[in-house]
Amino acid sequence: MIYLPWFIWISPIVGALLTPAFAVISPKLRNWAAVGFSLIAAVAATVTSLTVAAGDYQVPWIPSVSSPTKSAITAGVLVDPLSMFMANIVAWVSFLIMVYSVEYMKEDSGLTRYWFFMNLFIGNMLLLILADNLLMMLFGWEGVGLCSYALIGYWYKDEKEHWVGTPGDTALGLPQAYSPSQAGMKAFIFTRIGDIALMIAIFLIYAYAGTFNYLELATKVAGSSGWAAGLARLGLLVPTALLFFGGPIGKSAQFPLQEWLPDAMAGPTSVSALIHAATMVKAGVFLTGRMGPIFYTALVQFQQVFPFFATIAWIGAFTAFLAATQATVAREIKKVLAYSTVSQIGYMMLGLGIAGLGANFALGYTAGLFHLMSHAIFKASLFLAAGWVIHAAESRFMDEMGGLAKGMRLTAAAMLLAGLSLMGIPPLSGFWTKDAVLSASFEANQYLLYGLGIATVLLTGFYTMRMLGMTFSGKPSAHLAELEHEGSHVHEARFTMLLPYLLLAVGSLIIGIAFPLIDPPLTNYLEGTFSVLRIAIPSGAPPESGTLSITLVAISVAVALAGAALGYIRYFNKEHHQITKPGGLQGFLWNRWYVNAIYYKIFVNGSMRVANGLYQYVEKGVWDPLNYVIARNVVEYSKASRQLDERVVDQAVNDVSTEGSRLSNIMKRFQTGVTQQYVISFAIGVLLLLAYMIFVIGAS
Amino acid sequence: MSLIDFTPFISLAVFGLAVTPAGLLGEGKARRTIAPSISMIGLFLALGSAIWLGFSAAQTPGPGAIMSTDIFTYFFTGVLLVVAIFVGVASLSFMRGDPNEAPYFGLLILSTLGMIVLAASLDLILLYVGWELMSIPTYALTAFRKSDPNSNEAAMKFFVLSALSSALIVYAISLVFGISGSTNLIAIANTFGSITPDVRPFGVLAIVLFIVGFGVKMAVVPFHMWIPDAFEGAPTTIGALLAAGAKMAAFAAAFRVFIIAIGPFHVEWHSIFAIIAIVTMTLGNLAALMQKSFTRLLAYSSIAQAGYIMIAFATPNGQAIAGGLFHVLNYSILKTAAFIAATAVATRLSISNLDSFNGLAKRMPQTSINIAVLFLGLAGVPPLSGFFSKALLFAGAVNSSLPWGGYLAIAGLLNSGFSMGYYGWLIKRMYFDEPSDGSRIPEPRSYMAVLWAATALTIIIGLYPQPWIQLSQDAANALKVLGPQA
Amino acid sequence: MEALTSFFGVSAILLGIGIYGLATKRSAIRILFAVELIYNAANLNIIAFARLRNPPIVTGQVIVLFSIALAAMEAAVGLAIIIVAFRLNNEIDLRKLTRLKG
Repeated sequence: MIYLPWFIWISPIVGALLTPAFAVISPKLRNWAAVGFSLIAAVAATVTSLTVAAGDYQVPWIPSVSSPTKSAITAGVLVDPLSMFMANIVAWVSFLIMVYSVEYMKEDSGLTRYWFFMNLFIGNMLLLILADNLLMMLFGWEGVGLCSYALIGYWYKDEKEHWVGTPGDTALGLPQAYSPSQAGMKAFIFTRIGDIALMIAIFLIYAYAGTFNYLELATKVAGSSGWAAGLARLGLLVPTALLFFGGPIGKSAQFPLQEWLPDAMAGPTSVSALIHAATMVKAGVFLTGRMGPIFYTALVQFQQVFPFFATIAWIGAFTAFLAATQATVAREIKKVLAYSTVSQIGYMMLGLGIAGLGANFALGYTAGLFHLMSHAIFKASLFLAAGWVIHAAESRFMDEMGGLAKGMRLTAAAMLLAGLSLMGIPPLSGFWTKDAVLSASFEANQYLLYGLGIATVLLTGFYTMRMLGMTFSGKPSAHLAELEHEGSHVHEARFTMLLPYLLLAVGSLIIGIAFPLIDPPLTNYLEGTFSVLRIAIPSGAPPESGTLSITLVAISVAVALAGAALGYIRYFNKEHHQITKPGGLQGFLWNRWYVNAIYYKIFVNGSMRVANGLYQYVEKGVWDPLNYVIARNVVEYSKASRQLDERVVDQAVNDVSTEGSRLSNIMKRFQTGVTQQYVISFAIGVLLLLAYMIFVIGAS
Repeated sequence: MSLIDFTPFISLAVFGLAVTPAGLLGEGKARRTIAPSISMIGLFLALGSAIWLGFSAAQTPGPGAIMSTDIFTYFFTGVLLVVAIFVGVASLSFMRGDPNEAPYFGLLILSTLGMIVLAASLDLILLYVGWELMSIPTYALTAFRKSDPNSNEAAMKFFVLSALSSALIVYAISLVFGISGSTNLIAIANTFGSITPDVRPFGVLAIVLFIVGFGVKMAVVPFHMWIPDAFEGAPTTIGALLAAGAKMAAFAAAFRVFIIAIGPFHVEWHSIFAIIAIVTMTLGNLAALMQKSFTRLLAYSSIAQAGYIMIAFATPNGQAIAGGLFHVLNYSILKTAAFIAATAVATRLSISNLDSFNGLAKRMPQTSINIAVLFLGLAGVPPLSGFFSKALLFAGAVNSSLPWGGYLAIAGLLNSGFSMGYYGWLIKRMYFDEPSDGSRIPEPRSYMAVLWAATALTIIIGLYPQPWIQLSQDAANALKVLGPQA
Repeated sequence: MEALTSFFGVSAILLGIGIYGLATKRSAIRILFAVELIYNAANLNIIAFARLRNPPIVTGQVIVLFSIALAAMEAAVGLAIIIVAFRLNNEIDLRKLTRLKG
């Protein structure tokens, strides 16, 4: 076995574990050591992808589970084009964000916790990517979820300045502003819903395939004795695939589980950039990309490709549109970016879904993954720049900014570059990759999906310009004027903070300019994933060139420019007034289509009601009255018999008066503390068991 | 088979009887240390010999054997002795200065002896003797704080329900004896396979009474009502002994009776366990969510955990039984330590009010980190030990040919997720809430030793589950080989 | 077989009375009586099953001896607990022992 691939994910975890030790020596050492470990991971990832041959590097882990139908569970690192592609993006973006964090977080207390969870996160994310089997992947998957929870709630003391949402805002009577700890809990629970589906799917697959290993899953999938056939016989194949997709839906914040991500912005901005924009939320896309080809091979044998991949594509396209509409009215700069992230991940999902719907699987597949790459870069840049903007303006609300470009030209330039990339303006990277997704959906003859995608392009242009306009152009707001008056001037960020987001923005530009050159080799490289899995994927006709693709490009650029123009006219060089809760359609968007409020009404209030109801009606309502009825009858009876008993007559008279009130008190409680009632419940249990044996099983 | 094979039993019997009189010897400081040290020697000797014998001398018992010395026996002996040692070590601090220290340790060891006899017995008479030997000392131990009305009330409730369960077990034994004319489990298994229809109702009644009788100690709904009251009132170390020791010993007895003796009965009785398992885990978790007291929370969580282990009875294939045994191992360590943590906290704070756990991480950092790991282990968060045993249990249920296997696995998964609600909530309280009083609280060394040992075991088993799974599988095979051969 | 049925009938009635007593009686002493009744129901069963079997087996009597001895031990510890309860509360009414609940 070769150690280098293992090194990639283990080194950040070691870094995390050493953080408390370094903290004892000196805070400075702790900070830079943490950055150093993330650099080691990044370098290891790059060196691995250049020097190590594709393959599965395994060690035994839980061998005794093996049986004729189940293979031993091993731990391993799978080096293949997909994992290396992801690992490089994640490791390098993480490293830049860690550099940024040193300066950004420097005045915070509790930094040991911060560095610990950041490195633990990076390690778990890389584990998730590099794992060669679903079980190990699940470790990383849950690990990043835990770190995400801990980092969203990083400011656990819940000071008002760290809340997310407009204070006092309500929808359907429920408050829409969240404290960091609430937001963390919300993210944890939302993703957990998807995770349960994912785990059920993984264990279903294991039950039929007898393995968790990707390569073995790929080789055992086809044929009449394959696991796909086993599942298909019970009609479980498509349900399993859809359950599996539940995990990515939760983690990548896709409809209907998208609601946690906007509120996850309660964490520090560097955390939002790392976890909730550049890396963790892509885990769902990655996993879909990882298992996509395998599911495709599984489904294609039974002509069941359409329902699964159409679901992915439609969820992606719809989420892209839904989140983009919400971004057009948001008040907080980070929320604009959060909605935008949800929307852009929708594009990636659309690409992966389209892969299974068109004639050429690789076309949509690579398009989705390319968009993942370019989004990771420009969105990290946008978030990091926004972090500085929020810090400088001392407000998270865009209507309390305005005219900031004067004080921070480089930041404004970086945000403009990254913003253009987000809008899809040539020649930036976002243009190429978004266009690849859109043209793939057009070529797969999915015109409705294409239409939704194009509509989203319009909205994206609009909200990006709105954000840039409200933040950087026009007159400074009253809030800024007041700051100025107090003597704090808006100024540029320090070098170590500035450099990461400038680099990322320029990177987005360079990749964009060079894209026609790097596209074919990178496409080839990613297609190598299929050959590592040893599955045949229909490659079909190469993407059509010529007039059609030029027309498509022209349309999407024109639409993006139109959206941008609208945003420019409406928001640039204007005086910005405080945004209050709008009415009508905008109000609907402001309230996030009421999805969030409805979820809270149904699930949070509902489950509290159910729990209470169970407690009230089952424990107190059924069990106790049952006990009570029986106890009362018995008591009545025994009272009657007691009349005969000379010794207790006197006592009985006393008790009759207190009996009623005391027993009704008993009804109000669940565990009454009265031993006799325990015995009665015991006796009822015996009778129920006997009745079950006799009447249900028919045992006599 | 020689006397050597019974070293764990003999050493507990000898040391258990010697502790109380030895406590009267000596003067002053020597007098205080003599009883605890003798009992620790006895427990460690028993554990060491059990481990050594388990590896070197385990054998399948012959026909007519009353006591077995197979891997299953040594597996449970090891688990129960670890529980007893944890309780014993914690009691060194807990009982310091108590005038009745010697009888306390004597009763602790005799009760442990009862537990391991229970796990080893292949005969209903011995099983019953073991049951009483385990129960009677625990009544006295629960009532040990003579001047504390809570301790007395707990003992009273525990006694009434437990005595009822013992009596019902004797009644069930009488029925089985009537049907088969024997008290040997293997002989019973042979007659239960070919039972005539006219005595079948007696068999059904016997099964129900066994479920009920064992169920009281195993904490099965609806026979669970005494548990929260007894655990809350009893001295907290004894709470640990009841929750992990007595309960797991009852499981051992149930494994012996249901898998070996009643296995071949024609009536399909497994579904009853499926229902009980689901009801128990769900109700335990729901009720745990409502609790305001730490010990009651632990009590309800132990009820829920019993529900998981019941899966092994509902789908009794090799994998599920191995998973059940593995969970027995993990649960015993986790739950004992959780109670010891409660003991550590209770020295200064009120454990009947969860508010006193707010910000505990600042006041008792060692205790808090251990509670957090133990709770995550109980919830089954990977890579801690609880995750693998639950995974094995649920996998066994899924792979079972019985139709309810899938439902059990799903119910188990949902419940595990649900239980994070209260485990996570308490961890959040300890780490993220502000304490009302920030002063440090001393953390006695003997409690911390137990907690760190349990945490280390939890992590070690979680990171490298392989040998432990193997051990559980060997134990499961040793159990199944005595049962009906399909 | 008829003799066996009547023995079993009596023992079943004893079992019923025992559980009934446990559920209804307030005095801890009577609770103890009720437990003893269940033990005796079981003992009666065992003796009857052993004696009326063809050929009779002696194991039954051994079981009953064990059972009686152990039940006596249990009763002794139970009585001790009851005495302590009386000392603490000045009464032994189980229904008034409801400090632990909820």
